[in-house]
Amino acid sequence: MIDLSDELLMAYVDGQLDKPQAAVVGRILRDDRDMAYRVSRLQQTQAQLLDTFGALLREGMSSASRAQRGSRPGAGAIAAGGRVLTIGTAGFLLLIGASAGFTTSYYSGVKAKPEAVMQLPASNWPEDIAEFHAFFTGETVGVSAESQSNPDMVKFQLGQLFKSASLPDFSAHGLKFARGQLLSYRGNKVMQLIYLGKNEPLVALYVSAGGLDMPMSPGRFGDVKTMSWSVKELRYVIAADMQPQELRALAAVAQSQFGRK
Amino acid sequence: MGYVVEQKSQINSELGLVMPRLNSFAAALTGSESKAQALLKAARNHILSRVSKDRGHTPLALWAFTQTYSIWVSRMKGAPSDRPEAADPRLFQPRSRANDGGASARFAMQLAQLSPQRRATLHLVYGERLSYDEVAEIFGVPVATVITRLAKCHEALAQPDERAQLAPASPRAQGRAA
Repeated sequence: MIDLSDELLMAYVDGQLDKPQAAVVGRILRDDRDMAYRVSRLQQTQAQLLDTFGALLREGMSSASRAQRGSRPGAGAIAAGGRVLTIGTAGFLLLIGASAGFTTSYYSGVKAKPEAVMQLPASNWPEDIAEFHAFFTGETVGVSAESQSNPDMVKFQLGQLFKSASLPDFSAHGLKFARGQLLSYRGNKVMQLIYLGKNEPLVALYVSAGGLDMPMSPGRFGDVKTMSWSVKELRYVIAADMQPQELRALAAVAQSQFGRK
Repeated sequence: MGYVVEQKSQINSELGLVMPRLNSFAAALTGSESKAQALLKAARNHILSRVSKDRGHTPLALWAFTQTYSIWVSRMKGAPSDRPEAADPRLFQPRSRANDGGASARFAMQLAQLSPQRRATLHLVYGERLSYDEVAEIFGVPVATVITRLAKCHEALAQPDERAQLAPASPRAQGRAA
């Protein structure tokens, strides 16, 4: 029986192994429950660390941004949809707001003013997505000129963007596809796929190009839980206010179905 | 001349974006708000005076972390050890987690008990999401040292093992513990 060190398992959990090494560890984990349990404990601590240090960094940057803007006339909190947003979040939403529409204005992005944009470390994307996702509820999701509810149109756009013409099907989990919308995150196109159920919370899958292969890892922002992973040069975050096990199950469905033609 | 002015202005602008990140790094390293501010001030002066000469092609943030760490080391008496050095736990509790029933406060207490290098390593890996290689470069240590630090952090921060409390340890687990 193969025994792997905690150091190696930690590097696996942190996504620091190269692809062949990670594949070997993944295979061993499938057959060894004891080792899988050790990995799940490492993932628990990792999730706490990501949550804590991610939030500390974001809060520090938001404070700095507020202080900077506070010294300029007209500074203050921005209200959107009845909720008061922090400057950091507003900066992020500005980026999102700079996204092009889903139809004719698809590639005509409007650049946000540099001073209004919060420059977050590029690798914080699962946390940023979770923070952004926290502003969505079932009531706020409608189909607008910038979004698309026709699954075939969305599949077509996915094919154009990511060479993947499939839409994950979560109907076995009581969720139905509601709409797709193209967003912009730090200049990269991100597809947001929203699913709604009768009683289930709003679930969104975010897909973007880029990134080395990374195993699935959990995260959270407030009540929003996330699972993020990267595979075949696409990175994914699935976000919802639901139990991590349920979210992991949806992530597994998305992982198996998304790349399918 | 115009080019130099423009370059300085660009560096100032880039540095403005990096400073909040350096502040969080300095807080993790020093464990004290006031010490972090003092370190940050020294680091900013140092960076501004050296950036055009010494930075080369290193990304500004990575170079700035390295310089800040070097200044912190130079202020220590002798080489910094990996000994725990209690920090202010408030620095490790996000404000947005204040109402979570005390879980984040307990975790912050645990983080505050770690050594400065371990806290800073956690910040760079889980806050900045840098690779182990990049973190090793910042601290000027082998990657193995970074991995060992992280493994020790995980050990110190892990929740109690419920399975170990319920059943006697397996021979494999006992072997590992030994």
